Formats: sequence, structure tokens, C-alpha cells
Amino acid sequence: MAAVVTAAKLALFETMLKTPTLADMLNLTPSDFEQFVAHVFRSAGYTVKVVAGQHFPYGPGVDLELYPSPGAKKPIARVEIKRYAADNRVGYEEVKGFNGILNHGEPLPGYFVTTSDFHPNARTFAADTNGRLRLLDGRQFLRYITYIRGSRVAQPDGTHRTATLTPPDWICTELTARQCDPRRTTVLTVANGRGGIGKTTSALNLAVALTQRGLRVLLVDLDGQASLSSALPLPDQNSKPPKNAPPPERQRYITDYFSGRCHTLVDLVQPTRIHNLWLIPANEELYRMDSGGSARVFEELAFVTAIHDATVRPLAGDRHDEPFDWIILDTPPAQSHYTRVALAAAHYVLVPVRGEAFGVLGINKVLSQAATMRALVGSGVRVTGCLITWWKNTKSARDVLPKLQSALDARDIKLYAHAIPYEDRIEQAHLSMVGGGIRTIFGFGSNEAAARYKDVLSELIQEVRPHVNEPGT
Amino acid sequence: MSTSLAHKPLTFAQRAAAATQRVAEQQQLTDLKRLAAALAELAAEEVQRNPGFAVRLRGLYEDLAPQTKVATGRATKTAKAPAKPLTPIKRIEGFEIDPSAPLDPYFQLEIYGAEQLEAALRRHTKANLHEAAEIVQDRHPGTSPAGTSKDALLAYIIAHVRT
Repeated sequence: MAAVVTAAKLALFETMLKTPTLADMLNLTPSDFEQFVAHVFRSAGYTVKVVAGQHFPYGPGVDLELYPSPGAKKPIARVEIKRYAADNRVGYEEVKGFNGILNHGEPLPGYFVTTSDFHPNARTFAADTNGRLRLLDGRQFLRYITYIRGSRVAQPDGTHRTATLTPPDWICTELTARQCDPRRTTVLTVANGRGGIGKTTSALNLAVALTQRGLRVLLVDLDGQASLSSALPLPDQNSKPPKNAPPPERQRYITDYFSGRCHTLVDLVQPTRIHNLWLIPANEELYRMDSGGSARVFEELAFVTAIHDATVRPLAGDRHDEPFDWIILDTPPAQSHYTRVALAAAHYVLVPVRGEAFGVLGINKVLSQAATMRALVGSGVRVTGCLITWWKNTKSARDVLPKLQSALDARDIKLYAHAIPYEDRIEQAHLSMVGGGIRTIFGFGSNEAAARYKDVLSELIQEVRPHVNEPGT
Repeated sequence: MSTSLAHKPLTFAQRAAAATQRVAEQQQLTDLKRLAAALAELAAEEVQRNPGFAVRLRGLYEDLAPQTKVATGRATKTAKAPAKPLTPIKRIEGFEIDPSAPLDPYFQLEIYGAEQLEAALRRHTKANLHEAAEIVQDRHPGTSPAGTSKDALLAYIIAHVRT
């Protein structure tokens, strides 16, 4: 008979979901660990029956049965669970035995979950089952938990789970997105869960500062507000077309990729009026297409592959046959599919934050989302640090700053040494650019904000890749 | 001044004095005032005659310009920063940032350790330290800081948090 899950145990499982460790799992009894694994699969959208006590041939002979919905009569997968210490690997005989049960009667796919690892013979055996038997070792199970925990949404019955079934197959098969070497193209995502924090301003000014170092940069606007796209008019937007000219092609946006009208990003890359700076623009259709912050594993991985594709390069200009030096992704302020894909695609993440209580609150969400997307991809998505923007030396800012510093220290995240001050010239530059000009803050002579963005860029480059991609290296 | 959270840059007068001092040490000259005047006059002549020098001069002049701008501006004063950077001794997974929560001295001790506790607390404002002292008082009923100054609050917190 399955053990009853008390409210206290559920609270413990939720805590373990938040900060999963193998040590905590090994501290559970075998029965509680089965319940915990069941809790994880429930969070992934499954209806789960714990059948550990029903031994073969009188019962299914496995630990869990997974159903697609509460009313479903037939399971769609079975799960075997072994809570083993790290040095006690699951062997060939155990995996073979589970496979035999899966093949009994109507064959079903199965997941073998353990806190330790699998013997190479067991892995070889599982690889020959045509994907029916999937192995999830301790490290992979931690990744799965982290991804599921950050992809759950509240349900009408008060539980939290992913909106659709999210099986761990992509982790079991190590299906990862193709990522390029950050030394070839560095992908930076600028993100914070709050609006008005300086994400677009920071993305734009860091991109312009990079072009001033002779580097070629692609900005990708993933915000339906399209502020970045408005700020960077394309070269011919303000010029009159000649008489008898053919009608211009329809403007292309990042929405063309997400709607499936365009399968690669290279066709969306457009030059801007700033030398060495290219843009994939957005429009407000992005908002209408947004599916929110739930799990969409394959679409997320596909976007990562699309961004890192070597064919994403300038279509003209100097060295147009080479990939970009940097790709910077600007994100929307809300919980969004686009924030998730932008984080998943990032080698590095920069978190702008205002030195005020409300400004700081958005950090938790973006750090949690970054961890979720790192679990999806399995690498990258490193938060380089938080950048104070709109800095004003007020009492409240002075109160918040050391608290923020301590909290970031606790998470081993850097606070950039230079802050971007509040300065009217930032707004003047925006007005100039929205009006069709190309006057960035670097075109306003000497000003504090421009100088600090250059300082931050130096810090960023030192942080992310000190040896590569600088002209002359 | 620069909006740097890490260090306070030199003023113009300090930069001029440091440059003069460097030349004085190199050339083994002792009268710094006379040397400063000689340097300025020679530089003026060199600008007339040497375009490369003029370009370098303008470059440095531009680099120094924001400092005068910020010194007169109210909004872009330098943030007060710790005298030296602190090194966390522990990483806490999943810790959430709550800027409205009172300053917890026990958390500071956990993150920075006993040796860096004073430096970690000293970064905070007096208002924050009052909150921290209240947390300590809750754990040590009947005790209180010897005064309301920052030093008194720090002494009280450190004495009780370390025990």
C-alpha cells in the first residue's frame, strides 16, 4: 500500500524542489524518495500512481505509473526508482529486469531514476531499446527538477505544475541545443523581471560601445514594446524611394521566426544606421503570440540552436562572411516565453537593477529563470552580475545597496563596480534616435553615463572572455 | 568624481600633485611648486610645436571632463562604498533577495565570517544598523547598545552576534 503523503512531507518536497541536492534525497527513506519522485512527475504535468507495493506478476512490478490526465485509464509510462549512494551504480541486471516488465503485455516506455549513476553495461543495454527505456541519473534528475520547478504554473485545483506534459526525454537522451563557442560569438542576454529598469538602454549602449571597439554586434529585440526597434531606424527608413521603384519587401520581424513564417534568423538580420550594428526587430505582435512562462522544451531548444547558428551573420559590409562578434538579446519585463528563450540562448546574462526596493525585487525572478534555463540547456546561462542603473545617491538607494550586495554575495553573483547614473542625456539620446537620428549617448560629448557604460563594458569583457575577440588579438 | 561603487577617484588637484610628484622623483627635483610651473609652461610650448602631444592632451582632457560634470551635479554623486571588497565565505543556493527585510547580522556573519563582520556591517546605514540591533536584542533580552552612534551600534551587534 502506498504511503500517505502528509502536508509536512509535501512542504518538505516543495523545499527540496526549490533547492534540490542529492544529499537531501539520500536523507529520505526509500518510500519517501518514491513519493518525492512522484511529486516531481506530478509537477511535470502527469497524473501519478505510486504502485511500489504491487509486485510482479500480481501488480505492475514498478514504482510509479504515469497517466496523461486524472481520468485516463491506461498509463503512458512506468518509472523504476533506486535511491542509491553515489558509489553504488545501478547495474545491468536491474535495468534489464525493468525492461522485461516494460515489455510485458502492452509495451510501455519507462524511466529508470536513480540518485547515483548507471553502470556502462546498463547504459549500453538501454541505448538498444529504441528509446523505450530512458535512464535518468542523479545529475540529470537534479536538472529535470530544476527545469520543472521553474516552469510550473498555478492550476485551478491549487497545485503547481507545467501546463503540458513535460517528460525528461531531452535530458535522458542528452538532446541539447547546438551552442557556439563564446570565443566566436558571445551571446549576452540583458534581463530583469521588472520594467523601466534600463534593460533596453543598457543593451543598446553596450552594443554601441562594442561597435566603437571595432566589433560587429547583432541586437535581437524580444520585447513586444519594440523600444529597441524604434530606437534603431533602418538605413533607408527615412529616405524617399525613387520613382518607379518596386514596392518594398514587407518588413520582417522576430515574430516571423516564432510564428513559423521564417525558419532561421539569418533572413531577419537587418543593418542599422550605426556602423557595425545590426538588428532583428520586434513588433507588438510578439505580445499576442506569447504563451507565458510555461515549459516548451523543444521550442526553447530550437531557439538556442537558431541563435547559435553559424549562418546568423551580417548580410553585407566588412567581414560579412564571418559570424557576429557579439549577439545581445533584449528581453521583455514580464514572465514570458521570450525571456525564457533569451536566457536559454545566453552564454552570459546581465541583470540591470535600479538601486531601489522595487527595482531589486525583480532580481529573484530572473535569477530563478536563469537557473531553470541552465537546467534546460545543461551549460552556459551564467549570470555575470547585476548592474545598477538610474543611480541616484539618495538615502533609500544607500540603504538598499549594501543589502543587495550581501544578498548577491550569498549567491556568488557580482555587483558591477560601476553604476550608470541617472542622466538626462540618456533620454536626449533616446529622443534623437527615435526621431531618426544616430546620436547615442556617446555622441553627446563627455558625459557620465557614456563613460560608465564604457567602464561596465570593460568589466563585462574582463568577466566573460578576457582573451578573445578584441581587435588585434 | 565617477559613479563608481568601488573606489573614489582623485580630484584634479590631487592628480596634478601626483603627476608633479612623479616627475620630481624621476628627475630628483625638490621644489614642487617651481616644478609645476615649469611643467605647465613647457607643456604650453609643446602643444604649439607637437601635434601628437596636442592630440594626447585633448584625449586626457576629454577623459577628465566627466569628473567636473559630476562634481557639480546633484544626481550623480559617488556612492559610498566599502573600504575594501569583502569575500563571501559561503554560497547559499536559492537565497531570495528582499531589500525591505531588516538587516540581519546573523546572515552577515554566515556570509562573510567573523573576521569580516565589522567591515560588512559598516557598509550599512545607521538606520539599517538600528534594525540589526533590534534583531540582536530579540535574541539577547535585557541587553542594549551603549549609545545611538554608528560605532556603539556596531560594537553591540558584533559583541553579541559572535557569541
